[in-house]
Amino acid sequence: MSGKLRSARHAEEMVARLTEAAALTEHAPIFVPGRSASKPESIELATRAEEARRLAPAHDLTESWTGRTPAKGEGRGQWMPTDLGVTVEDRPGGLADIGEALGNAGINIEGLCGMGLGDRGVIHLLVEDGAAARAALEGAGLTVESESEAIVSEIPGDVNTPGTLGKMARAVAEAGVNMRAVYLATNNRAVAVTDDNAKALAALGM
Amino acid sequence: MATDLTVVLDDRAGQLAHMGEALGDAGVNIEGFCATTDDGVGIVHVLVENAMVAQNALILADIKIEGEADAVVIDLTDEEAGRPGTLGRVAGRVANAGINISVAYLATRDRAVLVTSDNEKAREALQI
Repeated sequence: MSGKLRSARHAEEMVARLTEAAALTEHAPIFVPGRSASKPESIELATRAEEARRLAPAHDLTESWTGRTPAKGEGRGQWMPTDLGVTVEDRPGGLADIGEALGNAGINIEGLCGMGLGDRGVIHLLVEDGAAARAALEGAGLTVESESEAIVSEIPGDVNTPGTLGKMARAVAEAGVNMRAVYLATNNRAVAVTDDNAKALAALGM
Repeated sequence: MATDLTVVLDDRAGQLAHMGEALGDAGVNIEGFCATTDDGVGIVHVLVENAMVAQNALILADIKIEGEADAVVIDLTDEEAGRPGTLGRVAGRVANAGINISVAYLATRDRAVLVTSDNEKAREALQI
Protein backbone atom coordinates (compact mmCIF):
# COMPACT_ATOMS: atom_id res chain seq x y z
CA MET A 1 0.00 0.00 0.00
CA SER A 2 2.79 2.38 0.87
CA GLY A 3 4.00 2.08 -2.69
CA LYS A 4 1.08 4.23 -3.68
CA LEU A 5 2.37 7.10 -1.60
CA ARG A 6 4.58 8.31 -4.34
CA SER A 7 5.84 11.35 -2.56
CA ALA A 8 5.61 13.09 0.77
CA ARG A 9 3.51 15.78 -0.87
CA HIS A 10 1.14 13.20 -2.27
CA ALA A 11 0.85 11.68 1.18
CA GLU A 12 0.13 15.02 2.80
CA GLU A 13 -2.49 15.81 0.21
CA MET A 14 -4.10 12.44 0.77
CA VAL A 15 -4.18 12.86 4.53
CA ALA A 16 -5.79 16.26 4.17
CA ARG A 17 -8.46 14.95 1.83
CA LEU A 18 -9.16 11.89 3.96
CA THR A 19 -9.42 14.08 7.04
CA GLU A 20 -11.95 16.23 5.24
CA ALA A 21 -13.86 13.12 4.22
CA ALA A 22 -13.67 11.75 7.74
CA ALA A 23 -15.14 14.94 9.16
CA LEU A 24 -18.16 14.39 6.96
CA THR A 25 -18.70 10.86 8.20
CA GLU A 26 -17.78 11.86 11.77
CA HIS A 27 -15.38 8.90 11.90
CA ALA A 28 -12.17 7.66 10.40
CA PRO A 29 -12.61 7.04 6.68
CA ILE A 30 -15.03 4.17 6.39
CA PHE A 31 -16.76 2.46 3.59
CA VAL A 32 -20.17 1.32 2.55
CA PRO A 33 -20.49 -1.86 0.50
CA GLY A 34 -22.08 -1.12 -2.86
CA ARG A 35 -25.33 -2.98 -2.29
CA SER A 36 -26.33 -1.06 0.80
CA ALA A 37 -26.45 2.11 -1.27
CA SER A 38 -29.61 0.82 -2.96
CA LYS A 39 -31.41 0.02 0.29
CA PRO A 40 -33.82 2.75 1.39
CA GLU A 41 -32.66 2.75 5.02
CA SER A 42 -29.13 3.44 3.87
CA ILE A 43 -29.86 6.48 1.78
CA GLU A 44 -28.41 8.89 4.28
CA LEU A 45 -25.35 6.72 4.82
CA ALA A 46 -24.96 6.33 1.09
CA THR A 47 -25.11 10.06 0.59
CA ARG A 48 -22.42 10.60 3.17
CA ALA A 49 -20.33 7.87 1.60
CA GLU A 50 -20.76 9.48 -1.81
CA GLU A 51 -19.57 12.75 -0.37
CA ALA A 52 -16.58 10.99 1.16
CA ARG A 53 -15.80 9.34 -2.16
CA ARG A 54 -16.00 12.67 -3.95
CA LEU A 55 -13.43 14.16 -1.61
CA ALA A 56 -11.09 11.22 -1.15
CA PRO A 57 -8.78 9.74 -3.76
CA ALA A 58 -10.75 6.98 -5.47
CA HIS A 59 -8.07 4.32 -5.32
CA ASP A 60 -7.84 4.55 -1.54
CA LEU A 61 -11.50 3.89 -0.99
CA THR A 62 -11.50 1.10 -3.52
CA GLU A 63 -8.40 -0.48 -2.14
CA SER A 64 -9.78 -0.42 1.36
CA TRP A 65 -12.28 -3.10 0.65
CA THR A 66 -11.00 -4.90 -2.38
CA GLY A 67 -7.31 -5.07 -1.67
CA ARG A 68 -6.34 -3.89 -5.11
CA THR A 69 -6.52 -0.92 -7.39
CA PRO A 70 -9.16 -1.23 -10.10
CA ALA A 71 -8.29 -1.63 -13.72
CA LYS A 72 -9.35 1.28 -15.89
CA GLY A 73 -13.05 1.19 -16.62
CA GLU A 74 -13.95 -1.16 -13.78
CA GLY A 75 -16.82 0.10 -11.67
CA ARG A 76 -16.67 -0.14 -7.91
CA GLY A 77 -20.32 -1.17 -7.77
CA GLN A 78 -19.72 -4.56 -9.31
CA TRP A 79 -17.56 -5.65 -6.38
CA MET A 80 -19.46 -7.21 -3.60
CA PRO A 81 -17.43 -8.48 -0.69
CA THR A 82 -18.81 -11.96 -0.12
CA ASP A 83 -18.21 -14.39 2.71
CA LEU A 84 -18.33 -18.02 1.66
CA GLY A 85 -18.62 -20.75 4.28
CA VAL A 86 -16.95 -23.93 3.09
CA THR A 87 -16.83 -27.28 4.87
CA VAL A 88 -14.04 -29.77 4.28
CA GLU A 89 -12.92 -33.01 5.85
CA ASP A 90 -10.40 -32.26 8.60
CA ARG A 91 -7.36 -33.92 7.02
CA PRO A 92 -4.06 -32.81 5.50
CA GLY A 93 -4.80 -31.08 2.21
CA GLY A 94 -8.32 -29.86 2.93
CA LEU A 95 -7.27 -26.22 3.05
CA ALA A 96 -4.89 -26.67 0.13
CA ASP A 97 -7.80 -27.95 -1.99
CA ILE A 98 -9.66 -24.70 -1.38
CA GLY A 99 -6.62 -22.53 -2.00
CA GLU A 100 -5.74 -24.34 -5.21
CA ALA A 101 -9.30 -24.32 -6.58
CA LEU A 102 -9.53 -20.55 -6.12
CA GLY A 103 -5.95 -19.87 -7.16
CA ASN A 104 -6.39 -21.82 -10.38
CA ALA A 105 -9.49 -19.77 -11.14
CA GLY A 106 -7.53 -16.55 -10.58
CA ILE A 107 -9.55 -15.63 -7.50
CA ASN A 108 -7.72 -13.95 -4.65
CA ILE A 109 -8.64 -14.80 -1.08
CA GLU A 110 -9.01 -11.45 0.64
CA GLY A 111 -9.78 -12.79 4.10
CA LEU A 112 -9.62 -16.19 5.78
CA CYS A 113 -10.85 -17.86 8.94
CA GLY A 114 -10.71 -21.63 9.15
CA MET A 115 -10.82 -24.07 12.02
CA GLY A 116 -11.23 -27.76 12.63
CA LEU A 117 -14.40 -28.60 14.50
CA GLY A 118 -14.48 -32.30 15.28
CA ASP A 119 -14.04 -34.25 12.06
CA ARG A 120 -14.62 -31.33 9.73
CA GLY A 121 -13.03 -28.04 8.93
CA VAL A 122 -15.19 -24.92 8.69
CA ILE A 123 -13.66 -22.20 6.59
CA HIS A 124 -14.83 -18.66 5.94
CA LEU A 125 -13.36 -16.91 2.93
CA LEU A 126 -13.73 -13.32 1.81
CA VAL A 127 -13.81 -12.92 -1.95
CA GLU A 128 -14.78 -10.14 -4.32
CA ASP A 129 -16.88 -12.26 -6.64
CA GLY A 130 -18.93 -14.77 -4.68
CA ALA A 131 -20.49 -16.43 -7.71
CA ALA A 132 -17.17 -17.04 -9.46
CA ALA A 133 -15.59 -18.34 -6.26
CA ARG A 134 -18.51 -20.64 -5.57
CA ALA A 135 -18.32 -22.01 -9.11
CA ALA A 136 -14.58 -22.66 -8.76
CA LEU A 137 -15.01 -24.41 -5.40
CA GLU A 138 -17.96 -26.51 -6.51
CA GLY A 139 -16.13 -27.34 -9.71
CA ALA A 140 -13.37 -28.81 -7.53
CA GLY A 141 -15.92 -30.95 -5.68
CA LEU A 142 -15.98 -28.76 -2.55
CA THR A 143 -19.12 -27.94 -0.57
CA VAL A 144 -20.09 -24.30 -0.17
CA GLU A 145 -22.38 -24.16 2.84
CA SER A 146 -23.17 -20.47 2.86
CA GLU A 147 -22.79 -17.30 0.87
CA SER A 148 -23.36 -13.96 2.59
CA GLU A 149 -22.74 -10.33 1.94
CA ALA A 150 -19.97 -9.29 4.31
CA ILE A 151 -19.18 -6.03 6.03
CA VAL A 152 -15.58 -5.07 5.37
CA SER A 153 -13.83 -2.18 7.05
CA GLU A 154 -10.32 -1.00 7.55
CA ILE A 155 -9.34 -1.43 11.17
CA PRO A 156 -9.62 2.10 12.54
CA GLY A 157 -6.53 3.63 14.06
CA ASP A 158 -3.31 1.80 14.79
CA VAL A 159 -3.50 -1.98 14.52
CA ASN A 160 -1.10 -2.22 17.45
CA THR A 161 -3.42 -0.41 19.84
CA PRO A 162 -5.34 -2.74 22.17
CA GLY A 163 -9.10 -2.37 22.51
CA THR A 164 -10.31 -1.95 18.93
CA LEU A 165 -12.17 -5.26 18.72
CA GLY A 166 -13.94 -4.57 22.00
CA LYS A 167 -15.11 -1.16 20.80
CA MET A 168 -16.34 -2.35 17.41
CA ALA A 169 -18.02 -5.49 18.75
CA ARG A 170 -19.66 -3.50 21.57
CA ALA A 171 -21.18 -1.04 19.11
CA VAL A 172 -22.64 -3.87 17.04
CA ALA A 173 -23.89 -5.76 20.12
CA GLU A 174 -25.61 -2.67 21.50
CA ALA A 175 -27.56 -2.42 18.26
CA GLY A 176 -28.84 -5.94 19.00
CA VAL A 177 -27.08 -7.44 16.00
CA ASN A 178 -25.57 -10.92 16.11
CA MET A 179 -22.37 -11.70 14.28
CA ARG A 180 -22.04 -15.13 12.69
CA ALA A 181 -18.40 -14.78 11.71
CA VAL A 182 -15.75 -12.15 12.35
CA TYR A 183 -12.23 -12.29 11.00
CA LEU A 184 -9.41 -10.34 9.43
CA ALA A 185 -8.57 -9.71 5.81
CA THR A 186 -5.44 -8.51 4.06
CA ASN A 187 -4.45 -4.82 4.25
CA ASN A 188 -5.54 -4.58 7.89
CA ARG A 189 -9.22 -5.02 7.22
CA ALA A 190 -11.86 -6.57 9.46
CA VAL A 191 -14.73 -8.69 8.13
CA ALA A 192 -18.07 -9.39 9.77
CA VAL A 193 -21.01 -11.54 8.74
CA THR A 194 -24.05 -10.42 10.69
CA ASP A 195 -27.78 -11.12 10.83
CA ASP A 196 -28.49 -7.47 9.99
CA ASN A 197 -25.77 -5.73 8.00
CA ALA A 198 -27.67 -2.46 7.63
CA LYS A 199 -28.07 -2.12 11.38
CA ALA A 200 -24.48 -3.18 12.01
CA LEU A 201 -23.18 -0.63 9.50
CA ALA A 202 -25.20 2.10 11.15
CA ALA A 203 -23.91 1.08 14.59
CA LEU A 204 -20.34 1.25 13.30
CA GLY A 205 -20.99 4.69 11.86
CA MET A 206 -20.68 3.36 8.33
CA MET B 1 6.35 -16.05 20.60
CA ALA B 2 2.91 -15.79 19.09
CA THR B 3 0.25 -17.92 20.70
CA ASP B 4 -3.16 -18.95 19.43
CA LEU B 5 -5.80 -19.04 22.16
CA THR B 6 -9.09 -20.84 21.63
CA VAL B 7 -12.01 -19.24 23.44
CA VAL B 8 -15.57 -20.53 23.54
CA LEU B 9 -18.36 -17.98 24.00
CA ASP B 10 -22.13 -18.15 24.25
CA ASP B 11 -23.57 -17.33 20.86
CA ARG B 12 -25.30 -14.10 21.80
CA ALA B 13 -24.79 -10.42 21.22
CA GLY B 14 -22.16 -8.88 23.46
CA GLN B 15 -19.97 -11.91 24.15
CA LEU B 16 -17.36 -11.02 21.58
CA ALA B 17 -17.34 -7.44 22.82
CA HIS B 18 -16.83 -8.70 26.36
CA MET B 19 -13.82 -10.70 25.24
CA GLY B 20 -12.37 -7.82 23.22
CA GLU B 21 -12.79 -5.44 26.13
CA ALA B 22 -11.19 -7.87 28.60
CA LEU B 23 -8.08 -8.07 26.43
CA GLY B 24 -8.10 -4.38 25.55
CA ASP B 25 -8.41 -3.31 29.18
CA ALA B 26 -5.43 -5.50 30.03
CA GLY B 27 -3.41 -3.84 27.29
CA VAL B 28 -3.27 -7.00 25.21
CA ASN B 29 -3.34 -6.37 21.49
CA ILE B 30 -5.16 -8.85 19.29
CA GLU B 31 -2.71 -9.58 16.50
CA GLY B 32 -4.96 -11.96 14.61
CA PHE B 33 -8.49 -13.07 14.92
CA CYS B 34 -10.96 -15.65 13.63
CA ALA B 35 -14.42 -16.24 15.05
CA THR B 36 -17.32 -18.34 13.89
CA THR B 37 -20.46 -19.78 15.36
CA ASP B 38 -21.22 -23.47 15.45
CA ASP B 39 -24.03 -25.31 17.12
CA GLY B 40 -25.02 -22.54 19.51
CA VAL B 41 -21.55 -21.46 20.58
CA GLY B 42 -19.06 -18.95 19.31
CA ILE B 43 -15.56 -20.30 18.77
CA VAL B 44 -12.85 -17.69 18.69
CA HIS B 45 -9.17 -17.93 17.87
CA VAL B 46 -7.03 -15.00 18.92
CA LEU B 47 -3.37 -14.51 18.23
CA VAL B 48 -1.51 -12.77 21.04
CA GLU B 49 2.11 -12.04 21.79
CA ASN B 50 1.95 -12.58 25.53
CA ALA B 51 -0.22 -15.59 26.26
CA MET B 52 0.16 -15.35 30.02
CA VAL B 53 -1.19 -11.80 30.27
CA ALA B 54 -3.99 -12.61 27.82
CA GLN B 55 -5.03 -15.71 29.72
CA ASN B 56 -5.09 -13.90 33.03
CA ALA B 57 -7.26 -11.16 31.53
CA LEU B 58 -9.70 -13.70 30.08
CA ILE B 59 -9.90 -15.74 33.28
CA LEU B 60 -10.59 -12.60 35.31
CA ALA B 61 -13.42 -11.78 32.89
CA ASP B 62 -14.90 -15.28 33.32
CA ILE B 63 -14.14 -16.25 29.75
CA LYS B 64 -13.45 -19.89 29.06
CA ILE B 65 -10.15 -20.71 27.40
CA GLU B 66 -10.39 -23.99 25.55
CA GLY B 67 -6.90 -24.22 24.20
CA GLU B 68 -3.49 -22.66 23.83
CA ALA B 69 -1.17 -23.47 20.96
CA ASP B 70 2.07 -22.26 19.48
CA ALA B 71 1.21 -20.60 16.16
CA VAL B 72 3.13 -20.56 12.91
CA VAL B 73 3.06 -16.96 11.70
CA ILE B 74 3.91 -16.27 8.08
CA ASP B 75 4.68 -12.78 6.83
CA LEU B 76 3.07 -12.32 3.44
CA THR B 77 4.58 -9.92 0.95
CA ASP B 78 2.24 -7.39 -0.69
CA GLU B 79 2.43 -9.55 -3.78
CA GLU B 80 1.55 -12.73 -1.92
CA ALA B 81 -1.37 -11.05 -0.17
CA GLY B 82 -2.79 -9.71 -3.41
CA ARG B 83 -2.13 -12.59 -5.77
CA PRO B 84 -4.42 -15.60 -6.24
CA GLY B 85 -2.88 -18.93 -5.29
CA THR B 86 -0.98 -18.06 -2.13
CA LEU B 87 -3.18 -20.10 0.20
CA GLY B 88 -3.00 -23.08 -2.14
CA ARG B 89 0.78 -22.88 -2.21
CA VAL B 90 1.24 -22.42 1.54
CA ALA B 91 -1.34 -25.02 2.55
CA GLY B 92 -0.13 -27.37 -0.19
CA ARG B 93 3.43 -27.34 1.13
CA VAL B 94 2.22 -28.12 4.63
CA ALA B 95 -0.11 -30.87 3.39
CA ASN B 96 2.64 -32.44 1.30
CA ALA B 97 4.72 -32.78 4.45
CA GLY B 98 1.85 -34.83 5.89
CA ILE B 99 0.93 -32.16 8.41
CA ASN B 100 -2.66 -31.29 9.27
CA ILE B 101 -3.68 -27.64 9.63
CA SER B 102 -6.23 -27.32 12.40
CA VAL B 103 -6.58 -23.54 12.36
CA ALA B 104 -5.79 -20.97 9.67
CA TYR B 105 -6.50 -17.26 9.68
CA LEU B 106 -5.06 -13.86 8.96
CA ALA B 107 -3.43 -11.43 11.31
CA THR B 108 -2.83 -7.71 10.97
CA ARG B 109 -0.04 -6.47 8.71
CA ASP B 110 -0.71 -9.21 6.17
CA ARG B 111 0.34 -12.18 8.23
CA ALA B 112 -1.08 -15.68 7.95
CA VAL B 113 -1.47 -17.78 11.08
CA LEU B 114 -1.49 -21.57 11.18
CA VAL B 115 -1.89 -24.03 14.02
CA THR B 116 -0.78 -27.43 12.84
CA SER B 117 -0.25 -30.98 14.05
CA ASP B 118 3.51 -30.40 13.86
CA ASN B 119 4.57 -26.77 13.80
CA GLU B 120 8.26 -27.53 13.64
CA LYS B 121 7.83 -29.59 10.49
CA ALA B 122 5.44 -27.02 9.08
CA ARG B 123 8.02 -24.24 9.51
CA GLU B 124 10.54 -26.46 7.81
CA ALA B 125 8.19 -27.13 4.90
CA LEU B 126 7.54 -23.38 4.58
CA GLN B 127 11.21 -22.55 5.06
CA ILE B 128 10.54 -20.00 7.78
